[in-house]
Order: sequence, then structure tokens, then C-alpha cells
Amino acid sequence: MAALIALLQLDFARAGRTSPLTVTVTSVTAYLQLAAAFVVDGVRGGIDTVKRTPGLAAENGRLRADNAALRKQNDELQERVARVPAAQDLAAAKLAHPDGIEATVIGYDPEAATHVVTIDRGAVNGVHRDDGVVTGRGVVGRVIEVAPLSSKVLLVTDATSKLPAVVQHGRWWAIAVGTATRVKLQYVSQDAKIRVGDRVVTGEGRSFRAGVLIGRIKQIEPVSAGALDQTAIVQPAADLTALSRVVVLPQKI
Amino acid sequence: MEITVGPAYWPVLGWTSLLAFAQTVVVPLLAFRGAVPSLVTIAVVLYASRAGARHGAMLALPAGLLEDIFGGTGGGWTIATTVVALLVGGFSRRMFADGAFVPAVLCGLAVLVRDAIFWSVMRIEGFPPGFALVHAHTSLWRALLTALVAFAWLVVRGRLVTDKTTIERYGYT
Repeated sequence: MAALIALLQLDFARAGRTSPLTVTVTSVTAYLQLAAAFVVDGVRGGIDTVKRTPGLAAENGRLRADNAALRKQNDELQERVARVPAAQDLAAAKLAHPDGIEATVIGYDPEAATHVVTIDRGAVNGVHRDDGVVTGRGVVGRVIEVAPLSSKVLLVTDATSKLPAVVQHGRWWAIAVGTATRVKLQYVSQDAKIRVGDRVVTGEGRSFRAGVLIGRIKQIEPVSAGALDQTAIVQPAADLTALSRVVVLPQKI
Repeated sequence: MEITVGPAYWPVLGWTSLLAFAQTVVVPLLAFRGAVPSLVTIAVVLYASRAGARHGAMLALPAGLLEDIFGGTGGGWTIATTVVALLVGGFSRRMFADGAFVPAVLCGLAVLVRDAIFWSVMRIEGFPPGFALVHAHTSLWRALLTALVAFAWLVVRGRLVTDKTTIERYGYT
């Protein structure tokens, strides 16, 4: 039988054709080889993975560290960009008032009923009651309460705030009173030729020296018959809704 | 005889203190038309409506005191919050303080009453008259925002907390 099969195979080989036996066997074994190769490749891949695992873990850790470092750097850069306007304001305020005490706003009135903010400088930093508070743009308010490590500042827009004020171009005196949203300039002489856009600055007073910008006249209220004075609405120069860094002006001696 | 069962006092006091702190640091940054929702009022009203007037006042007093300290006001919030807690605690005997809508409306009304009492106290302390009227518009916004926040919180809590106590006061006559 073996000799017969061998002869048949030899004859097909000499004729240059593939014997049916060869076709059958190779076809069947092809599937087996495919399955075996799949298993072997899988096992080999598994072994390679196991071999590379310590390296992968280290690489993963390195990438995570890089990612965290980049994220932190990105956050810092974003924060720096966000702080640019406040830093510019603060630099301008420090330039105008070199003796001023830099402070950060750390709290607001919980119910927004009064216009009061808390700053992170108190008595130990040399802050006193009635000290003026400014940003680089203008007046913020004055200190009304001093604790050892913090102070409360009454904003110029609060309805209980009153400051001596001067319309800059005509030197007309007035009182700047808070209206909860803006500042009202009261008791301006009826003869004063005030105009919309006029700059209003502080007059010499307990909290401020003369000449610190409060804001600009936004609207002049009609004078009623027989009135002895006029009233104007002033838009504060400092953005009191987005206070971040301020400068406390120590009281004049 | 009345047996009052409500949320435990000390955890609620802790959470309310945190809310008072958030109220001075974070919430004002989210002001809408100059008004902010009063988280402290929500906490006090919801607690007083469940635990009763006396327990509510025990929570309202330190909560209001914290707001006075943070805001630099001279006791206005302490008195106003305590009075509101007493009112809500007394009023809640006549209502079923469950669901979301009624307590949320109660929170909004409490803000209006609280603001009116606050400005009355400030008037007595020497503030010029008319501040309550000056702030009436802001108070209305605050009441609306507070009611909305309370409603959202109660709806979310109702969905998340399955083991909530719905009946907490048992009356025996």
C-alpha cells in the first residue's frame, strides 16, 4: 500500500501535477496551521506584552507625569492671562500711591444687601478705619471695619457711602452718594456748567486726598424750579462688580 | 403632645455654616441683576419646616450670626433669620412640607420677609429710612432666585435620595 501510494505520488510529481492526496492533506492542514498560527501568535504576543509590561507601565507613568505637568503649566498660564488686567490695575494704583497697602478681595456681603467687601489686610498690616481704597482705575470705597487680619470696605456705590467730590474741570464741589448701582453727585452748585463725561474726583477729605478719580458724569438730572443745586449720576471708574486686587491708602497724618 | 422628628441638628448646622461661607465667597460672584439666591434661607426654611420653630430658630441664630459677621452688619441677619425660622416653624404645623413646589415657594416668601425684617433692624440701628423700598426690586429677584434654587435642590434630592423620610411629624391629641 505504501509502495502504491509512493508510486502514485511519484507519477503525479513527474507529470508536474499535484496529487489528490496532496491537495486533500494540504487543504485540511492549512486550516490547522492557521489555527495553530493564531494560537502561537497570540501566545507570542502575550509573552511579548508580559515582557514589555514593566516598560509600558514606566512609559505610561512618564506620559501621565508629562500630561500632568503640561496641564499644570496650562492652568498657570491661563491664570496669568486672567490676572493681567487686575495686575495692570494694581501696578497703576501702586504707581500713583507708592505707600499704599496691596490687598486682595476675599469676601463679599453674603446677601448682596449692602455693598461691602472683605480684604485680606487688617490692623497688623497697618490698615485703619476710614482708610481709602482704590484700584488703578479709581476709587473703590473706604474701610469701615478693621480686624487683625482682615478689613471690611464700604464700596462707593453703597447707599450709605458719602464722599466729598469735585467736578474736575470746573472745580465745583459736591457730595458723591451711593445709589446701590452708581454714584449720585449731589449739591452741585446751580451755576456749575457740568457736562456728561466730566471727570469727578475726590475732594480733600478724611479718607482720600484730593484728585483721586471717582468716575465720569453719565447723566445730569433736570433742575426743578426753585432748586438751589443740581444732581448728576456718575458711573464709577473702577469696576466694582469684578474687584480682585485693591490698594489701601493709609490715612494722612 | 407633639413628637418632632427632623434631620439631625449638628450635621445640618455644619452644612449650613458651609453654605454661609459659600454665600460670602462664591455666591456673590454669580449675582444676577445684583441679586443672589440665599442658600442660608433655603437651609433654615427647609429645616424649620421639618424640625419645628424651636429647632429652626436654633439653626437660624448661628446661621444669621455668621452672615452678620461675614457681611459686617450689626445683627440684622441674626434677628431676621431667627424670626423667619420661628414663623416658618409655626406655619409648617398647618401644612405638609413635602414635595418641591410648596417648600420652594416658602423659601422665596421667606427671603422677602427676611429682607423686610433686616432693613427694619438696620433702620433701628441708624440707617436712613427707605432702604427696604430701595432694595425691594433686588429682594424680589432674590426671592425668585432662591425659590428656583430651592426647587431644583428639592427635585434633585427627591430623585437621588430614595430613603428619605417623608413624614417626620406625628401629632397626638
